[in-house]
Amino acid sequence: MRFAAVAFGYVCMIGSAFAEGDPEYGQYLSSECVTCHQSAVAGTIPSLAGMNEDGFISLMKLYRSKQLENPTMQTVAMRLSDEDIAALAAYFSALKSPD
Amino acid sequence: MAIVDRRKFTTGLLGLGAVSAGLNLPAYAQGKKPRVVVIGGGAGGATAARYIAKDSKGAIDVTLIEPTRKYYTCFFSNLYLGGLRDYDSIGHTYDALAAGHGVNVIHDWAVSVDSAAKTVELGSGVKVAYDRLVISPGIDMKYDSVAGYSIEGQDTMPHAWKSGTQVALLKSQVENMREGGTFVMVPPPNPFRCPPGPYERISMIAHVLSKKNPTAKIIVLDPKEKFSKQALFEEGWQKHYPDMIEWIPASVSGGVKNINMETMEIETDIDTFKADAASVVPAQKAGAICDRAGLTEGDWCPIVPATMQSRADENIHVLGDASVASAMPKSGFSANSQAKVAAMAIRGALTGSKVFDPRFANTCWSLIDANDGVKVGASYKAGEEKIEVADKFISKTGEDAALRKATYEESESWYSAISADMFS
Repeated sequence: MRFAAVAFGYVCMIGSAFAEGDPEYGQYLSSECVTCHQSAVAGTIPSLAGMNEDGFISLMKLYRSKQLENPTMQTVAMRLSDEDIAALAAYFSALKSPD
Repeated sequence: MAIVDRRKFTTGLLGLGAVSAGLNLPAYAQGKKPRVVVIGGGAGGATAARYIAKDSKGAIDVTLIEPTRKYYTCFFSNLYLGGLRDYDSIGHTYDALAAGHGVNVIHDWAVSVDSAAKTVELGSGVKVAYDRLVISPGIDMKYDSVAGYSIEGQDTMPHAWKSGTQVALLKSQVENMREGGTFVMVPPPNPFRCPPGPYERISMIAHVLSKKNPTAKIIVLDPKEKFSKQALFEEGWQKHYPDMIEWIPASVSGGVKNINMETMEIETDIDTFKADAASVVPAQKAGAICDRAGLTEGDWCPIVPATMQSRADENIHVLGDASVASAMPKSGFSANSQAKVAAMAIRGALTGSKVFDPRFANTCWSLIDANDGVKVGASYKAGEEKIEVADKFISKTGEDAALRKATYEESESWYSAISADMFS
């Protein structure tokens, strides 16, 4: 039922621009991220749960334009459209932060 | 033999199902709770079971068949070998999959698949029925690919390519080598599980020997002419373990002609090498259940890229090392990625949930010495015939120590994350 709560939060919080977005799509895209980014894990790879939406979008675009250096993240970001990044940002920001 | 049928519906619904069956409707449209059986609890199977159970929220019955109660990952087993991790840290149980996601975990061997009846027979004789079957059995060894090597010889010269006790045995043999002794490594021919693995293993053994037995030597008798991350490994070996490692490709040695397990002698065209300890990793093939299920062409299982369905049976999905994933290497990361694509396709077929464009990814980290980590990775897409590379990267030679340490720390973080993604 956790996902239902997430989807509800997603629609309420984000307004019209993202209301057209698909939370299932964001969740599917996120499955690639969580191979490395898990909220229960302490380490150098940060959790994305509860991350600020604008911050997430900015960082992903910097990886996509290779202004940020990690090659794994550049490769992930390379094939994400603006819409994909927005869907992911909405999905992760709506999740409960590990803190 | 009993048939395990996990449908828990009223006879009225079953009657509806029987009427609808002739229309070839998906299970959900027939009012039945669909059943997915997963064979193999590694990076492919555990991830598939977890994602199907988690994302279907109880709409699909998921049964996972895995013989071992505690699963030791192959990835990071080299770090245990190198003394940088303890054994318990690479072992995982299935408790959370059962308790947290309602996966029915059966600790038994899958013996055969009846694709017409859509059942899997277990070692106990029980048959488990499925609507979709996921097979992720990993690899089996082709022991006779190296003359003189055998399943009986695997304790003398451990392949240690399935993690667990074989790696513990190899670690003990390396640590107890005589002073100034020779360790011989025979890597496998392509294609095989974990392409950089043999060379990370050599690095970790050199790491141990350089501290405990610094006059020891490592001879690598490779059946190949080149290997994954070769420039990175060779640079690191020269830097950290000068004069300890000698890599000899088949064009120089002529290949391994015979192994005498009693005398520990490994014969090639140029010399016979006497080993004080050795690891022989034979050629590999898909886990034996694949052959018995009629899914293999040659040694591996061809798949449909977009769904990971077997080319031989649309009700069966093959994940991970056993599949022909073309550009994707046989790795735990790859299997985990393929499992998510298959899980989405299976949920779509069985419950009508949305299906999106499949995306695959892989990154393989390797450790050359403590805090000297490198990586190679790529993103992939499903072509009509093959899984194809979308974009790729590899660490560079000459990177500074801070970046290499960061790469190693990233791999530690990834290990915890993928373990949670499989087992939590």
